[in-house]
Amino acid sequence: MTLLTMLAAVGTAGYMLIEGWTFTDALFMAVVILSTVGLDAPHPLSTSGRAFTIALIITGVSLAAYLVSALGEYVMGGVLTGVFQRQRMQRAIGRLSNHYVVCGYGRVGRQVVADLRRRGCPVVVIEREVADAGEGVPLIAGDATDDDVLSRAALMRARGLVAATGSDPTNVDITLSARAIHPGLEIVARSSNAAAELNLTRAGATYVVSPYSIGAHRIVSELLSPGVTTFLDTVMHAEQLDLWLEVATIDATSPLAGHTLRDALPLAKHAVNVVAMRQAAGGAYVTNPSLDARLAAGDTLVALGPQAAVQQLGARAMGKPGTARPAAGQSIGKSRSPR
Amino acid sequence: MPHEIAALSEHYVICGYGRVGHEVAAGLLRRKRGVVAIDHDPPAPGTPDAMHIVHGDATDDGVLLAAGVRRAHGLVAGTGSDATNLVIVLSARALNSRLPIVARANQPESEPKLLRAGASRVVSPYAIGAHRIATQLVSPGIVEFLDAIRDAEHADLWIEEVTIAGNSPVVGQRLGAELPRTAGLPNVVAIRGSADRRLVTNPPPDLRLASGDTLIVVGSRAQLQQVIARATRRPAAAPAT
Repeated sequence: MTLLTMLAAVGTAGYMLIEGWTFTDALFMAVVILSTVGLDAPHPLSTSGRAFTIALIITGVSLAAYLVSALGEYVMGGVLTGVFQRQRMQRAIGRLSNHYVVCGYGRVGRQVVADLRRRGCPVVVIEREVADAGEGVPLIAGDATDDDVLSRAALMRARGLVAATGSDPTNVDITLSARAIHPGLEIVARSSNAAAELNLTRAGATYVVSPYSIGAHRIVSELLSPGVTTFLDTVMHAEQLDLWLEVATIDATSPLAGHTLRDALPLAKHAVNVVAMRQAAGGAYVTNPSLDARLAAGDTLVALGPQAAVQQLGARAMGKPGTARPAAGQSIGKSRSPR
Repeated sequence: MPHEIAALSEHYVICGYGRVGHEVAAGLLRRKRGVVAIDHDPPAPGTPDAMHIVHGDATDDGVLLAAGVRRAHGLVAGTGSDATNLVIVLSARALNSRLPIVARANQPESEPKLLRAGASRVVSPYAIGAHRIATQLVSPGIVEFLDAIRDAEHADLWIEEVTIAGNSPVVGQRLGAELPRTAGLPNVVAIRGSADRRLVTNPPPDLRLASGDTLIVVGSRAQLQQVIARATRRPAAAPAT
Protein backbone atom coordinates (compact mmCIF):
# COMPACT_ATOMS: atom_id res chain seq x y z
CA MET A 1 0.00 0.00 0.00
CA THR A 2 2.79 2.41 0.93
CA LEU A 3 4.61 1.42 -2.25
CA LEU A 4 1.55 2.13 -4.38
CA THR A 5 1.01 5.55 -2.73
CA MET A 6 4.67 6.44 -3.33
CA LEU A 7 4.35 5.39 -6.98
CA ALA A 8 1.22 7.58 -7.37
CA ALA A 9 3.14 10.53 -5.89
CA VAL A 10 6.06 9.96 -8.29
CA GLY A 11 3.56 9.76 -11.19
CA THR A 12 1.84 13.00 -10.17
CA ALA A 13 5.14 14.85 -9.80
CA GLY A 14 6.33 13.44 -13.15
CA TYR A 15 3.30 14.74 -15.10
CA MET A 16 3.51 18.14 -13.38
CA LEU A 17 7.19 18.48 -14.36
CA ILE A 18 7.19 16.94 -17.84
CA GLU A 19 3.83 18.19 -19.14
CA GLY A 20 3.44 21.26 -16.90
CA TRP A 21 -0.06 20.07 -15.82
CA THR A 22 -1.93 21.23 -12.72
CA PHE A 23 -1.74 19.03 -9.59
CA THR A 24 -5.33 17.70 -10.02
CA ASP A 25 -4.77 16.77 -13.69
CA ALA A 26 -1.46 15.08 -12.88
CA LEU A 27 -2.90 13.13 -9.94
CA PHE A 28 -5.93 12.07 -12.05
CA MET A 29 -3.62 10.77 -14.78
CA ALA A 30 -1.34 8.91 -12.37
CA VAL A 31 -4.27 7.17 -10.65
CA VAL A 32 -5.90 6.27 -14.00
CA ILE A 33 -2.63 4.71 -15.21
CA LEU A 34 -1.87 2.85 -11.98
CA SER A 35 -5.40 1.50 -11.58
CA THR A 36 -5.26 0.32 -15.24
CA VAL A 37 -8.76 1.76 -15.79
CA GLY A 38 -7.80 3.33 -19.15
CA LEU A 39 -9.78 6.62 -19.28
CA ASP A 40 -8.69 9.38 -21.69
CA ALA A 41 -5.81 11.61 -20.68
CA PRO A 42 -6.93 15.14 -19.58
CA HIS A 43 -4.57 16.70 -22.19
CA PRO A 44 -2.65 15.26 -25.18
CA LEU A 45 0.75 13.80 -24.12
CA SER A 46 4.20 14.85 -25.42
CA THR A 47 6.80 12.20 -26.45
CA SER A 48 8.65 12.35 -23.17
CA GLY A 49 5.25 12.26 -21.39
CA ARG A 50 4.43 9.03 -23.26
CA ALA A 51 7.76 7.46 -22.29
CA PHE A 52 7.10 8.36 -18.65
CA THR A 53 3.59 6.83 -18.89
CA ILE A 54 5.00 3.55 -20.26
CA ALA A 55 7.51 3.36 -17.39
CA LEU A 56 4.78 4.11 -14.87
CA ILE A 57 2.47 1.40 -16.27
CA ILE A 58 5.22 -1.26 -16.24
CA THR A 59 6.32 -0.42 -12.66
CA GLY A 60 2.74 -0.25 -11.37
CA VAL A 61 1.60 -3.52 -12.93
CA SER A 62 4.67 -5.45 -11.81
CA LEU A 63 4.33 -4.05 -8.30
CA ALA A 64 0.65 -5.09 -8.16
CA ALA A 65 1.48 -8.56 -9.47
CA TYR A 66 4.22 -8.95 -6.83
CA LEU A 67 1.92 -7.86 -4.01
CA VAL A 68 -0.85 -10.25 -5.05
CA SER A 69 1.56 -13.22 -5.23
CA ALA A 70 3.20 -12.37 -1.88
CA LEU A 71 -0.18 -12.12 -0.19
CA GLY A 72 -1.29 -15.43 -1.68
CA GLU A 73 1.87 -17.16 -0.58
CA TYR A 74 1.46 -15.81 2.96
CA VAL A 75 -2.12 -17.01 3.32
CA MET A 76 -1.84 -20.33 1.49
CA GLY A 77 1.63 -21.15 2.82
CA GLY A 78 0.52 -20.84 6.43
CA VAL A 79 -2.55 -22.97 5.85
CA LEU A 80 -0.62 -25.63 3.96
CA THR A 81 2.25 -25.87 6.49
CA GLY A 82 -0.36 -26.31 9.24
CA VAL A 83 -2.12 -29.02 7.26
CA PHE A 84 1.12 -30.87 6.53
CA GLN A 85 2.27 -30.60 10.13
CA ARG A 86 -1.01 -31.94 11.45
CA GLN A 87 -0.95 -34.81 8.96
CA ARG A 88 2.62 -35.70 9.89
CA MET A 89 1.72 -35.56 13.59
CA GLN A 90 -1.35 -37.74 13.05
CA ARG A 91 0.72 -40.28 11.12
CA ALA A 92 3.29 -40.38 13.96
CA ILE A 93 0.51 -40.90 16.51
CA GLY A 94 -1.04 -43.56 14.29
CA ARG A 95 2.08 -45.66 14.71
CA LEU A 96 2.13 -45.32 18.52
CA SER A 97 0.99 -47.87 21.04
CA ASN A 98 1.63 -48.37 24.76
CA HIS A 99 2.15 -44.64 24.96
CA TYR A 100 1.07 -42.08 27.56
CA VAL A 101 -1.44 -39.33 26.79
CA VAL A 102 -0.71 -36.18 28.79
CA CYS A 103 -3.63 -33.71 28.91
CA GLY A 104 -2.57 -30.19 29.87
CA TYR A 105 0.87 -28.78 29.10
CA GLY A 106 1.52 -26.33 31.91
CA ARG A 107 4.07 -26.50 34.72
CA VAL A 108 3.06 -30.01 35.75
CA GLY A 109 2.32 -31.43 32.29
CA ARG A 110 5.65 -30.28 30.86
CA GLN A 111 7.61 -31.89 33.69
CA VAL A 112 5.63 -35.14 33.38
CA VAL A 113 6.42 -35.25 29.66
CA ALA A 114 10.11 -34.57 30.29
CA ASP A 115 10.28 -37.31 32.95
CA LEU A 116 8.48 -39.88 30.80
CA ARG A 117 10.62 -39.14 27.76
CA ARG A 118 13.79 -39.43 29.84
CA ARG A 119 12.66 -42.94 30.74
CA GLY A 120 12.10 -43.73 27.08
CA CYS A 121 8.29 -43.72 27.16
CA PRO A 122 6.42 -42.42 24.08
CA VAL A 123 4.10 -39.49 24.84
CA VAL A 124 1.25 -37.59 23.13
CA VAL A 125 0.28 -34.16 24.47
CA ILE A 126 -3.22 -32.68 24.26
CA GLU A 127 -3.37 -28.94 24.92
CA ARG A 128 -5.65 -26.24 23.60
CA GLU A 129 -3.46 -23.22 24.17
CA VAL A 130 -0.08 -24.36 22.89
CA ALA A 131 0.83 -24.52 19.19
CA ASP A 132 4.11 -26.41 19.57
CA ALA A 133 5.14 -28.79 22.34
CA GLY A 134 8.84 -28.58 21.49
CA GLU A 135 11.38 -31.00 20.08
CA GLY A 136 9.57 -33.95 18.61
CA VAL A 137 6.70 -34.13 21.08
CA PRO A 138 3.49 -35.04 19.21
CA LEU A 139 0.86 -32.44 20.07
CA ILE A 140 -2.87 -32.41 19.46
CA ALA A 141 -4.16 -28.87 19.74
CA GLY A 142 -7.62 -29.44 21.13
CA ASP A 143 -9.86 -29.91 24.12
CA ALA A 144 -9.04 -33.10 26.05
CA THR A 145 -12.59 -33.38 27.40
CA ASP A 146 -13.73 -34.02 23.81
CA ASP A 147 -14.00 -37.75 23.02
CA ASP A 148 -12.99 -37.09 19.45
CA VAL A 149 -9.75 -35.40 20.51
CA LEU A 150 -8.98 -38.25 22.93
CA SER A 151 -9.49 -40.78 20.15
CA ARG A 152 -7.11 -38.86 17.90
CA ALA A 153 -4.46 -39.43 20.60
CA ALA A 154 -4.93 -43.18 20.02
CA LEU A 155 -6.30 -43.62 23.53
CA MET A 156 -7.46 -47.17 22.79
CA ARG A 157 -3.85 -48.29 22.36
CA ALA A 158 -2.42 -46.11 25.16
CA ARG A 159 -0.92 -47.47 28.36
CA GLY A 160 -1.86 -44.52 30.53
CA LEU A 161 -3.35 -41.05 30.64
CA VAL A 162 -2.45 -38.06 32.80
CA ALA A 163 -5.12 -35.41 33.52
CA ALA A 164 -2.72 -32.61 34.44
CA THR A 165 -4.60 -29.37 33.71
CA GLY A 166 -4.72 -26.72 36.41
CA SER A 167 -8.51 -27.05 36.78
CA ASP A 168 -10.02 -29.80 38.91
CA PRO A 169 -13.40 -29.87 37.09
CA THR A 170 -11.61 -30.20 33.75
CA ASN A 171 -9.53 -33.07 35.11
CA VAL A 172 -12.69 -34.81 36.36
CA ASP A 173 -14.24 -34.37 32.92
CA ILE A 174 -11.13 -35.75 31.17
CA THR A 175 -10.99 -38.71 33.56
CA LEU A 176 -14.66 -39.56 32.98
CA SER A 177 -14.33 -39.36 29.19
CA ALA A 178 -11.12 -41.39 29.10
CA ARG A 179 -12.49 -44.02 31.46
CA ALA A 180 -15.57 -44.44 29.23
CA ILE A 181 -13.41 -44.92 26.12
CA HIS A 182 -10.86 -47.28 27.70
CA PRO A 183 -11.98 -49.15 30.86
CA GLY A 184 -8.56 -50.73 31.49
CA LEU A 185 -6.50 -47.54 31.18
CA GLU A 186 -4.15 -46.36 33.91
CA ILE A 187 -5.33 -42.81 34.71
CA VAL A 188 -3.33 -40.51 36.98
CA ALA A 189 -5.04 -37.21 37.78
CA ARG A 190 -3.78 -33.98 39.29
CA SER A 191 -5.90 -32.38 42.00
CA SER A 192 -5.64 -29.23 44.06
CA ASN A 193 -7.57 -30.30 47.16
CA ALA A 194 -9.04 -33.22 49.07
CA ALA A 195 -12.59 -32.76 47.77
CA ALA A 196 -11.38 -32.91 44.17
CA GLU A 197 -9.34 -35.99 45.01
CA LEU A 198 -12.51 -37.84 45.97
CA ASN A 199 -14.32 -36.74 42.80
CA LEU A 200 -11.41 -37.78 40.61
CA THR A 201 -11.36 -41.21 42.21
CA ARG A 202 -15.13 -41.51 41.70
CA ALA A 203 -14.70 -40.50 38.05
CA GLY A 204 -12.33 -43.42 37.55
CA ALA A 205 -8.79 -42.19 38.24
CA THR A 206 -6.38 -44.93 39.29
CA TYR A 207 -4.20 -42.57 41.30
CA VAL A 208 -4.56 -38.94 42.31
CA VAL A 209 -1.61 -36.63 42.89
CA SER A 210 -1.96 -33.30 44.62
CA PRO A 211 1.12 -31.12 44.02
CA TYR A 212 0.22 -28.86 46.96
CA SER A 213 -0.01 -31.67 49.43
CA ILE A 214 3.08 -33.48 48.13
CA GLY A 215 4.96 -30.17 48.15
CA ALA A 216 3.87 -29.54 51.74
CA HIS A 217 4.96 -33.03 52.73
CA ARG A 218 8.32 -32.37 51.19
CA ILE A 219 8.70 -29.05 53.00
CA VAL A 220 8.01 -30.78 56.32
CA SER A 221 10.63 -33.46 55.58
CA GLU A 222 13.12 -30.80 54.50
CA LEU A 223 12.66 -29.14 57.89
CA LEU A 224 12.65 -32.25 60.07
CA SER A 225 14.83 -34.78 58.21
CA PRO A 226 16.67 -33.27 55.24
CA GLY A 227 18.94 -36.32 55.01
CA VAL A 228 16.03 -38.60 54.18
CA THR A 229 14.78 -36.33 51.41
CA THR A 230 18.25 -36.10 49.91
CA PHE A 231 18.51 -39.88 50.05
CA LEU A 232 15.13 -40.42 48.39
CA ASP A 233 15.93 -37.80 45.75
CA THR A 234 19.17 -39.64 45.09
CA VAL A 235 17.52 -43.02 44.64
CA MET A 236 14.66 -41.57 42.60
CA HIS A 237 16.67 -39.42 40.21
CA ALA A 238 20.16 -40.86 40.52
CA GLU A 239 21.58 -39.75 37.22
CA GLN A 240 25.15 -39.42 38.40
CA LEU A 241 25.14 -42.36 40.84
CA ASP A 242 24.64 -45.97 39.79
CA LEU A 243 21.90 -46.56 42.30
CA TRP A 244 18.39 -47.75 41.72
CA LEU A 245 15.39 -48.41 43.91
CA GLU A 246 13.27 -51.27 42.66
CA VAL A 247 9.97 -52.42 44.09
CA ALA A 248 9.00 -55.66 42.40
CA THR A 249 6.10 -58.00 42.94
CA ILE A 250 6.66 -61.67 42.14
CA ASP A 251 4.36 -62.71 39.32
CA ALA A 252 2.89 -66.22 39.14
CA THR A 253 4.95 -66.85 35.99
CA SER A 254 8.20 -65.65 37.58
CA PRO A 255 11.12 -68.10 37.66
CA LEU A 256 11.83 -66.82 41.18
CA ALA A 257 8.62 -68.17 42.71
CA GLY A 258 9.42 -71.05 45.05
CA HIS A 259 13.11 -70.11 45.36
CA THR A 260 14.86 -68.56 48.30
CA LEU A 261 15.87 -64.93 48.31
CA ARG A 262 19.52 -66.07 48.24
CA ASP A 263 18.92 -67.82 44.89
CA ALA A 264 16.94 -64.90 43.56
CA LEU A 265 19.62 -62.29 44.05
CA PRO A 266 21.96 -61.68 41.14
CA LEU A 267 25.61 -62.68 41.42
CA ALA A 268 26.42 -59.26 42.77
CA LYS A 269 24.25 -59.99 45.79
CA HIS A 270 26.41 -58.07 48.23
CA ALA A 271 25.80 -54.94 46.23
CA VAL A 272 22.05 -55.32 46.45
CA ASN A 273 20.30 -54.34 49.65
CA VAL A 274 16.90 -56.01 50.02
CA VAL A 275 15.53 -53.34 52.34
CA ALA A 276 12.15 -54.91 52.97
CA MET A 277 9.82 -57.64 51.79
CA ARG A 278 6.08 -58.00 52.02
CA GLN A 279 4.34 -61.34 51.79
CA ALA A 280 1.21 -61.00 49.64
CA ALA A 281 -0.43 -57.65 48.90
CA GLY A 282 -1.80 -55.78 51.88
CA GLY A 283 0.49 -57.43 54.43
CA ALA A 284 3.17 -55.70 56.45
CA TYR A 285 6.67 -54.99 55.20
CA VAL A 286 9.42 -56.87 57.05
CA THR A 287 12.80 -55.17 57.01
CA ASN A 288 15.97 -57.13 56.24
CA PRO A 289 14.25 -60.30 55.03
CA SER A 290 16.25 -63.46 55.64
CA LEU A 291 18.13 -64.79 52.62
CA ASP A 292 16.49 -68.16 53.32
CA ALA A 293 13.00 -66.72 52.95
CA ARG A 294 11.06 -68.47 50.19
CA LEU A 295 9.50 -66.31 47.54
CA ALA A 296 5.91 -66.83 46.46
CA ALA A 297 3.71 -65.15 43.85
CA GLY A 298 2.36 -61.89 45.23
CA ASP A 299 5.37 -61.15 47.46
CA THR A 300 6.87 -57.70 47.05
CA LEU A 301 10.60 -56.97 47.30
CA VAL A 302 12.10 -53.54 47.94
CA ALA A 303 15.67 -53.60 46.68
CA LEU A 304 18.33 -50.94 46.44
CA GLY A 305 21.56 -51.32 44.51
CA PRO A 306 23.37 -50.94 41.17
CA GLN A 307 20.88 -50.29 38.40
CA ALA A 308 21.70 -53.33 36.24
CA ALA A 309 21.59 -55.83 39.11
CA VAL A 310 18.40 -54.44 40.60
CA GLN A 311 16.62 -54.13 37.28
CA GLN A 312 17.53 -57.72 36.47
CA LEU A 313 15.93 -58.77 39.74
CA GLY A 314 12.82 -56.78 38.81
CA ALA A 315 12.62 -58.31 35.34
CA ARG A 316 12.88 -61.83 36.72
CA ALA A 317 10.23 -61.08 39.33
CA MET A 318 7.85 -60.14 36.56
CA GLY A 319 8.29 -63.38 34.67
CA LYS A 320 8.07 -63.03 30.90
CA PRO A 321 11.03 -60.83 30.04
CA GLY A 322 9.57 -59.79 26.68
CA THR A 323 6.78 -57.80 28.29
CA ALA A 324 8.96 -55.52 30.39
CA ARG A 325 7.85 -51.93 30.66
CA PRO A 326 10.10 -49.23 29.26
CA ALA A 327 11.70 -48.67 32.66
CA ALA A 328 12.05 -51.01 35.57
CA GLY A 329 10.35 -50.87 38.90
CA GLN A 330 6.95 -52.31 38.23
CA SER A 331 4.56 -54.75 39.61
CA ILE A 332 1.83 -56.58 37.83
CA GLY A 333 -1.31 -58.31 38.90
CA LYS A 334 -1.32 -56.29 42.09
CA SER A 335 -4.31 -54.42 43.43
CA ARG A 336 -3.53 -50.79 43.92
CA SER A 337 -5.82 -48.31 45.49
CA PRO A 338 -5.47 -44.58 45.20
CA ARG A 339 -4.43 -42.96 48.36
CA MET B 1 -1.39 -14.33 71.67
CA PRO B 2 1.85 -12.29 71.44
CA HIS B 3 2.74 -13.45 74.96
CA GLU B 4 2.40 -17.07 73.96
CA ILE B 5 4.64 -16.50 70.93
CA ALA B 6 7.18 -14.66 73.05
CA ALA B 7 7.39 -17.82 75.18
CA LEU B 8 7.99 -20.05 72.13
CA SER B 9 11.40 -21.15 70.94
CA GLU B 10 12.64 -23.86 68.60
CA HIS B 11 9.37 -23.39 66.73
CA TYR B 12 8.74 -23.18 62.99
CA VAL B 13 7.56 -20.01 61.26
CA ILE B 14 5.32 -20.53 58.22
CA CYS B 15 4.90 -17.52 55.93
CA GLY B 16 1.76 -17.86 53.83
CA TYR B 17 -1.05 -19.92 55.28
CA GLY B 18 -2.64 -21.08 52.02
CA ARG B 19 -3.00 -24.55 50.53
CA VAL B 20 0.64 -25.47 51.02
CA GLY B 21 1.09 -23.59 54.31
CA HIS B 22 -1.93 -25.33 55.85
CA GLU B 23 -0.58 -28.77 55.15
CA VAL B 24 2.94 -27.88 56.29
CA ALA B 25 1.50 -26.60 59.58
CA ALA B 26 -0.62 -29.72 60.00
CA GLY B 27 2.38 -31.97 59.36
CA LEU B 28 4.51 -30.12 61.91
CA LEU B 29 1.73 -30.06 64.53
CA ARG B 30 1.25 -33.82 64.09
CA ARG B 31 4.91 -34.18 65.01
CA LYS B 32 4.36 -31.98 68.09
CA ARG B 33 6.37 -28.99 66.87
CA GLY B 34 5.50 -25.41 67.72
CA VAL B 35 4.16 -23.52 64.72
CA VAL B 36 3.62 -19.81 64.08
CA ALA B 37 1.92 -18.90 60.82
CA ILE B 38 2.07 -15.44 59.24
CA ASP B 39 -0.71 -14.40 56.89
CA HIS B 40 -2.51 -11.29 55.63
CA ASP B 41 -5.92 -12.80 56.11
CA PRO B 42 -7.49 -13.57 59.48
CA PRO B 43 -7.40 -17.28 60.35
CA ALA B 44 -10.21 -19.37 58.89
CA PRO B 45 -12.59 -21.10 61.29
CA GLY B 46 -11.28 -24.53 62.19
CA THR B 47 -7.67 -23.41 62.67
CA PRO B 48 -6.15 -25.77 65.27
CA ASP B 49 -5.83 -24.25 68.73
CA ALA B 50 -2.16 -25.18 68.91
CA MET B 51 -1.48 -22.85 65.96
CA HIS B 52 -0.26 -19.34 66.61
CA ILE B 53 -1.13 -16.83 63.95
CA VAL B 54 0.58 -13.51 63.37
CA HIS B 55 -1.52 -11.22 61.28
CA GLY B 56 0.52 -9.20 58.80
CA ASP B 57 2.93 -9.07 55.91
CA ALA B 58 5.75 -11.60 56.17
CA THR B 59 8.07 -9.41 54.10
CA ASP B 60 8.01 -6.92 56.99
CA ASP B 61 10.88 -7.37 59.47
CA GLY B 62 8.67 -6.34 62.39
CA VAL B 63 6.17 -9.08 61.60
CA LEU B 64 8.95 -11.69 61.28
CA LEU B 65 10.40 -10.60 64.64
CA ALA B 66 6.93 -10.81 66.20
CA ALA B 67 6.76 -14.41 64.99
CA GLY B 68 10.00 -15.08 66.88
CA VAL B 69 12.21 -15.60 63.82
CA ARG B 70 15.39 -15.12 65.94
CA ARG B 71 14.49 -18.06 68.24
CA ALA B 72 12.93 -20.27 65.55
CA HIS B 73 14.14 -23.69 64.44
CA GLY B 74 13.12 -23.15 60.84
CA LEU B 75 11.15 -20.94 58.47
CA VAL B 76 9.04 -21.72 55.41
CA ALA B 77 8.58 -19.10 52.67
CA GLY B 78 5.47 -20.80 51.30
CA THR B 79 3.36 -18.17 49.54
CA GLY B 80 2.10 -18.65 46.00
CA SER B 81 4.24 -15.77 44.74
CA ASP B 82 7.94 -16.31 44.08
CA ALA B 83 8.69 -12.59 44.33
CA THR B 84 7.16 -12.49 47.82
CA ASN B 85 9.02 -15.64 48.84
CA LEU B 86 12.26 -14.06 47.65
CA VAL B 87 11.75 -11.01 49.86
CA ILE B 88 10.77 -13.21 52.84
CA VAL B 89 13.94 -15.28 52.43
CA LEU B 90 16.13 -12.17 52.21
CA SER B 91 14.55 -10.58 55.29
CA ALA B 92 14.59 -13.74 57.38
CA ARG B 93 18.21 -14.47 56.44
CA ALA B 94 19.21 -10.96 57.48
CA LEU B 95 17.50 -11.39 60.85
CA ASN B 96 18.87 -14.87 61.60
CA SER B 97 21.95 -16.04 59.74
CA ARG B 98 21.74 -19.65 61.01
CA LEU B 99 18.04 -20.30 60.44
CA PRO B 100 17.14 -23.25 58.19
CA ILE B 101 14.90 -21.70 55.50
CA VAL B 102 12.84 -23.79 53.10
CA ALA B 103 11.38 -21.81 50.20
CA ARG B 104 8.60 -22.76 47.83
CA ALA B 105 9.32 -22.13 44.13
CA ASN B 106 6.29 -21.82 41.90
CA GLN B 107 8.36 -21.36 38.74
CA PRO B 108 11.47 -23.45 38.01
CA GLU B 109 13.45 -20.27 37.18
CA SER B 110 13.04 -19.02 40.75
CA GLU B 111 14.97 -21.86 42.33
CA PRO B 112 18.52 -20.47 41.87
CA LYS B 113 17.36 -17.00 42.90
CA LEU B 114 15.84 -18.27 46.13
CA LEU B 115 19.04 -20.16 46.93
CA ARG B 116 21.12 -17.05 46.23
CA ALA B 117 18.85 -15.03 48.50
CA GLY B 118 19.71 -17.37 51.34
CA ALA B 119 17.26 -20.29 51.29
CA SER B 120 18.72 -23.54 52.66
CA ARG B 121 16.47 -25.69 50.49
CA VAL B 122 13.97 -25.03 47.71
CA VAL B 123 10.86 -27.12 47.06
CA SER B 124 8.87 -26.90 43.79
CA PRO B 125 5.42 -28.43 44.40
CA TYR B 126 4.58 -28.55 40.68
CA ALA B 127 7.83 -30.29 39.74
CA ILE B 128 7.57 -32.77 42.61
CA GLY B 129 3.93 -33.49 41.74
CA ALA B 130 4.96 -34.11 38.15
CA HIS B 131 7.81 -36.45 39.20
CA ARG B 132 5.31 -38.38 41.28
CA ILE B 133 2.87 -38.69 38.37
CA ALA B 134 5.57 -39.99 36.03
CA THR B 135 6.86 -42.47 38.61
CA GLN B 136 3.33 -43.69 39.29
CA LEU B 137 2.90 -44.44 35.59
CA VAL B 138 6.22 -46.16 35.07
CA SER B 139 7.00 -47.71 38.48
CA PRO B 140 3.84 -47.83 40.62
CA GLY B 141 5.50 -50.14 43.14
CA ILE B 142 7.99 -47.44 44.09
CA VAL B 143 5.21 -44.92 44.70
CA GLU B 144 3.39 -47.39 46.91
CA PHE B 145 6.54 -48.05 48.91
CA LEU B 146 7.34 -44.35 49.24
CA ASP B 147 3.76 -43.62 50.30
CA ALA B 148 4.10 -46.35 52.89
CA ILE B 149 7.31 -44.92 54.33
CA ARG B 150 6.12 -41.31 54.07
CA ASP B 151 2.89 -41.54 55.93
CA ALA B 152 3.10 -44.87 57.63
CA GLU B 153 -0.40 -44.96 59.02
CA HIS B 154 -1.24 -48.36 57.60
CA ALA B 155 2.10 -50.08 57.28
CA ASP B 156 4.49 -49.71 60.22
CA LEU B 157 7.43 -48.86 58.00
CA TRP B 158 9.30 -45.61 58.51
CA ILE B 159 12.41 -43.95 57.21
CA GLU B 160 14.38 -41.78 59.60
CA GLU B 161 17.76 -40.15 59.77
CA VAL B 162 19.86 -39.97 62.89
CA THR B 163 23.19 -38.28 63.46
CA ILE B 164 25.52 -40.02 65.90
CA ALA B 165 26.30 -37.89 68.94
CA GLY B 166 29.87 -37.26 70.12
CA ASN B 167 29.94 -39.74 72.97
CA SER B 168 27.24 -42.21 72.02
CA PRO B 169 28.10 -45.86 72.80
CA VAL B 170 27.75 -46.48 69.06
CA VAL B 171 30.92 -44.52 68.19
CA GLY B 172 33.74 -46.83 67.10
CA GLN B 173 31.47 -49.86 66.68
CA ARG B 174 31.23 -51.83 63.46
CA LEU B 175 27.96 -51.30 61.59
CA GLY B 176 27.45 -55.09 61.33
CA ALA B 177 27.74 -55.46 65.11
CA GLU B 178 25.54 -52.51 65.89
CA LEU B 179 22.79 -53.02 63.31
CA PRO B 180 23.20 -56.52 61.81
CA ARG B 181 21.27 -57.47 58.68
CA THR B 182 19.02 -59.79 60.63
CA ALA B 183 15.45 -60.40 59.52
CA GLY B 184 13.08 -57.95 61.16
CA LEU B 185 15.78 -55.53 62.35
CA PRO B 186 16.07 -52.01 60.94
CA ASN B 187 17.89 -51.64 57.64
CA VAL B 188 20.57 -48.97 57.22
CA VAL B 189 20.10 -47.93 53.61
CA ALA B 190 22.76 -45.22 53.56
CA ILE B 191 25.34 -43.41 55.67
CA ARG B 192 26.62 -39.89 55.17
CA GLY B 193 30.10 -39.94 56.68
CA SER B 194 31.13 -37.15 59.02
CA ALA B 195 34.51 -36.88 57.28
CA ASP B 196 33.64 -36.31 53.62
CA ARG B 197 29.82 -35.86 53.79
CA ARG B 198 29.53 -38.35 50.94
CA LEU B 199 26.41 -40.53 50.80
CA VAL B 200 27.38 -44.22 50.97
CA THR B 201 24.50 -46.52 50.06
CA ASN B 202 24.51 -50.16 51.14
CA PRO B 203 27.22 -49.48 53.72
CA PRO B 204 29.41 -52.57 54.33
CA PRO B 205 29.05 -54.35 57.74
CA ASP B 206 32.68 -53.72 58.71
CA LEU B 207 32.30 -49.94 58.42
CA ARG B 208 33.18 -48.19 61.71
CA LEU B 209 30.66 -45.68 62.97
CA ALA B 210 31.99 -42.26 63.88
CA SER B 211 30.58 -39.31 65.71
CA GLY B 212 28.78 -37.00 63.29
CA ASP B 213 27.88 -39.78 60.82
CA THR B 214 24.28 -39.58 59.64
CA LEU B 215 22.49 -42.91 59.23
CA ILE B 216 19.39 -43.32 57.06
CA VAL B 217 17.42 -46.19 58.50
CA VAL B 218 14.24 -48.01 57.46
CA GLY B 219 12.29 -49.91 60.11
CA SER B 220 9.28 -49.94 62.38
CA ARG B 221 8.57 -46.88 64.49
CA ALA B 222 9.58 -48.52 67.76
CA GLN B 223 12.84 -49.81 66.28
CA LEU B 224 13.75 -46.41 64.88
CA GLN B 225 13.09 -44.76 68.21
CA GLN B 226 15.51 -47.23 69.80
CA VAL B 227 18.16 -46.57 67.18
CA ILE B 228 17.78 -42.81 67.62
CA ALA B 229 17.90 -43.09 71.41
CA ARG B 230 21.09 -45.15 71.30
CA ALA B 231 22.84 -43.07 68.65
CA THR B 232 22.13 -39.79 70.42
CA ARG B 233 22.57 -40.98 74.01
CA ARG B 234 25.49 -39.95 76.14
CA PRO B 235 27.04 -42.81 78.18
CA ALA B 236 26.86 -40.75 81.37
CA ALA B 237 23.12 -40.21 81.02
CA ALA B 238 20.74 -41.94 83.39
CA PRO B 239 19.40 -45.29 82.19
CA ALA B 240 16.44 -44.91 79.89
CA THR B 241 13.14 -45.17 81.69
